[in-house]
Amino acid sequence: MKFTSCFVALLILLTTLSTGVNAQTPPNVFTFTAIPDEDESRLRSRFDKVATYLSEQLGTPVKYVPVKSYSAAITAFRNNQVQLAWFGGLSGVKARHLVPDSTAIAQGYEDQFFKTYFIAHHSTQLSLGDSLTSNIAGLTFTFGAKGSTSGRLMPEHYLRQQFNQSPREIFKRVGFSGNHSQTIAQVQSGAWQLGAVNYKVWESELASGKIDPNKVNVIWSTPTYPDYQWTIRNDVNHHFGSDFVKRVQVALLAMNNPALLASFPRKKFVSATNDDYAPIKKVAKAIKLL
Amino acid sequence: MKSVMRTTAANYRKITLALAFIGLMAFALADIEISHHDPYTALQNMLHGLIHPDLSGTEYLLSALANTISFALLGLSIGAIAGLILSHYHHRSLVAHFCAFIRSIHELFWALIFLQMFGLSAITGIAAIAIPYSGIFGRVFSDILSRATIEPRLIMVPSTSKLSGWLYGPLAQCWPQILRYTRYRFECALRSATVLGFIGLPTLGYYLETAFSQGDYQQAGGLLLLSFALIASIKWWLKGWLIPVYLLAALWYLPWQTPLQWQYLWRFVSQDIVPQPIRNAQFDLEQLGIWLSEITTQQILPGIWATLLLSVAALLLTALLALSLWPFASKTLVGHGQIVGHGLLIVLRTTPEFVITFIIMLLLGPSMLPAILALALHNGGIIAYLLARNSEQIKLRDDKTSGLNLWSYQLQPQLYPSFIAWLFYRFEVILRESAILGMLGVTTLGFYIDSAFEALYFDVALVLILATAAINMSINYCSMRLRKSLNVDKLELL
Amino acid sequence: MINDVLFALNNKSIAFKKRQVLSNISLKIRRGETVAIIGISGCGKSSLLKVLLEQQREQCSLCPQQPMLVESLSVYHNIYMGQLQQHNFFYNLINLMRPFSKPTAEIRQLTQLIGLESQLFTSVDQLSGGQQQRTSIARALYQGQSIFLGDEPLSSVDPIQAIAMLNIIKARHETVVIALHNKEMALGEFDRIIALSNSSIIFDGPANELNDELMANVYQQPDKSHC
Repeated sequence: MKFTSCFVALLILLTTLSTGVNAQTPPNVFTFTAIPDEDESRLRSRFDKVATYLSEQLGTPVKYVPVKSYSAAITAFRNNQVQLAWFGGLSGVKARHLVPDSTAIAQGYEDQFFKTYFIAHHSTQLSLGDSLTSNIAGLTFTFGAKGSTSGRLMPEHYLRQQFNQSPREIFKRVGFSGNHSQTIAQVQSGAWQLGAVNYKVWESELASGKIDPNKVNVIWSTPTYPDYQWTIRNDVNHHFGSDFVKRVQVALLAMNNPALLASFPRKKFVSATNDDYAPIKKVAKAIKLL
Repeated sequence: MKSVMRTTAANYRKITLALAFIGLMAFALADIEISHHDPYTALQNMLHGLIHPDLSGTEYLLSALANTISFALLGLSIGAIAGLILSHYHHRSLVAHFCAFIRSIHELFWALIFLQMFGLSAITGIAAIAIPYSGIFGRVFSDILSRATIEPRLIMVPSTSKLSGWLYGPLAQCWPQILRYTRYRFECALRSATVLGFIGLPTLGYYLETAFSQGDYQQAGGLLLLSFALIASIKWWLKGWLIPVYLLAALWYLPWQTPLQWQYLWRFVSQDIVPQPIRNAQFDLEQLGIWLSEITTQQILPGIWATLLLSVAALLLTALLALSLWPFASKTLVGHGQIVGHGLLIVLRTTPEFVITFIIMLLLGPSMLPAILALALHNGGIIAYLLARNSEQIKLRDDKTSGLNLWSYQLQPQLYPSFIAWLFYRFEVILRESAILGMLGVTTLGFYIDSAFEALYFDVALVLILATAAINMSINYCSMRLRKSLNVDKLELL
Repeated sequence: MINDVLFALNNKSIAFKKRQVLSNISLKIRRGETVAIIGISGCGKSSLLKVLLEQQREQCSLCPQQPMLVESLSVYHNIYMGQLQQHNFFYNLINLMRPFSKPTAEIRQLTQLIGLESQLFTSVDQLSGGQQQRTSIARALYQGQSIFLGDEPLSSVDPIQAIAMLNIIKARHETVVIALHNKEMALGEFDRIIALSNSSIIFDGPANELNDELMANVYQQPDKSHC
């Protein structure tokens, strides 16, 4: 009896697998994604609301696809599985490098002058300074995600600038916590002595009481640089109408519902161009991340 | 008077001492620093989360559950069928090597590769499970079938076709074992499907990873308990006649909507994975040499070193844990007290190493220690379970002793051959798993592979994956030779 | 007088795996007797021995039908297991790794007696069936009890050696109860014979009273399946 049921299972599997693969929905749904960043909880529910907003504004079905990593967001964008993406500075530069016909159309108001905080566990006895102290050499240090601008690219850039050495040479141990919240949590717990973190995440966690100022504190703030932005594939104009890119930009810039903006979290969106990210591109090339 | 032992046990003792020596060396060389200043708060939060699990905050929970089961079921079915076919030709060394190759690459790496080709589609998840599993099934099924005593040619009319002879001979005879092994593998497939969520597929692991990285331990605890319950309850919801129904439901349910776009698949094969110096039809072999040697010295060699250190240290700890835990789950030794031991072992073996490492890393800080402990806890739990189960099958005399004497003189010596065999087999598993723990920051080969994927250097990633496969296959070969020389290669491997 | 009765069964029925193998049997075995239990295989000899063992657990050396030795350990260790209870665990544990000289000397003497001296430190998996059975007997001898209970202990040992082994067993035990298949040996070497057939005792008495007709009955195929 088991033999037969296995055989039936095999038949069903083979026949439906061949039909299943071909059962594709037509690509007429405008799809977007956002790199995982600060608060990942209920991420889908929150971004589904953004999708609803865009759908209303554009008059086209809009869908949000969640991703787990920066590279997954870039790949999805490159393979046209998403046509619009909320990227970090570095991931946006990479994505536009891989899809030459794509444009940065909007950035957060705060992204025009973004910065990274270097934070330290209280046992290091380091405190806030105007410049990065050389006393950090020989301690343990964690970045955020490997492909993050504020958690990896820019802090590494400033470290190299000051020490003329790679992070592995400067520090006793170097790690990647995976995301900004983890960087804060792990430095606060003492697992790492130092960390580099997105300043927006730091401030919102400080405001929500997740940070104990007696255990972890900011020791240096980097100079400002451009960061997150919305990037769109220009070939959407073929599928969704000739001025679709423009309409998406207008819809994004017009987003003023605080509940929607809180997902990013930004005050509002302002327009952006590819050239705004030239400094990031230069740094990425220098560190061989591009 | 000095007497020389010519016993089989003495051989095992030598192997054990060698293992202990190498393991201790690995511990001496590995980075096992504890760098946590305040592990108690984190521990307290986690325990609190486990005691007060809360799934209300998890969105799309049912859909994640359905996806997990669907990926596992479809991946496993395809893997089992392919494995059965492969097992028929497994005596040919080409097929045997092919099986060894595809199973030496972890399902997470397969998933990372398919992610580039198919995106976050159902195909990615199914193929990532089906491919390594067909390699495993190919080997294990051929092992099982080779032990069949019925020689089809002897009992059939000579003109019977080879296939029907095989069907009615070895296959029919071994069918119960094949089913049993497949059912055991389903448990593993559920775990694999869960872990695939860590890189973005919409399974339970997706939310588990989120909950852990957000420090939401109540949700994490709830999801962990849910995955325990899912695996522990398999025997109640997976009935033979229901499998076709489940398969249909899985096919219907999974997200197939992402269109297959052949141009991206082709681009990945023809460009992305071609080494950068020889891409675009410029065959600069000198540059290729430099490129390869750079990867070798900066990534492969340090990666292999860390991988081996980690695996060997974990192997020693696995052995110690298995030896000290199994008696508590053996009815022969502790009577009904075994329920407690069994409960512990179920928790140990159903929690993915990835999750254990993650938890211990929060407690002890970043070094190799969390990964070593996690691998040892998981694999030690599995071996202890198998030992306990086998100990209950040993026939004992009516005038047997009890307690420690029974353990030391009768049970442990009789279990030792299986113990050694499982340990070697598990070493291969540890090696595979240690590679993926690199994604958590331990600088094994997996760390470099993850970094290459994150930086979108697919050519580098492919070279690293091939290096990983090569290492796994050579260790696999050595362990097979050693098992043969110890005469423990015919034992049932789980 | 009463103390002399070691085993006593009174209208006892014995079941094995929920199937009744012996019904309403009665017997007494006194100190100093050598008893052979005969009958075809499956007639309840092993079950009977099991019940007898329960009655005198503390005084019995047992030699089961399957040697049930620990195959990877040496002859020495398998024999030593007969006296595990008499030492503390750590003594036993150390002995497992490095044999102590006192038990080694004792067991060496035993292996001389049974002709296994040169295999003393060889593991059991390298021995023949007969050698394994002799090891199992030696283990029972090493227990040093006054009663020997054996279940076909000599089935794999060759006939000449078997008589010698049996004499050693008899010399070292006050009371000997052995289930066996070999009727010549039963008739020649034992004082008393208990014959089982069709789930009951069909003969119980001195060996010389057992005639050929009775013997033929014992080895007749059972007329019902319940035997």
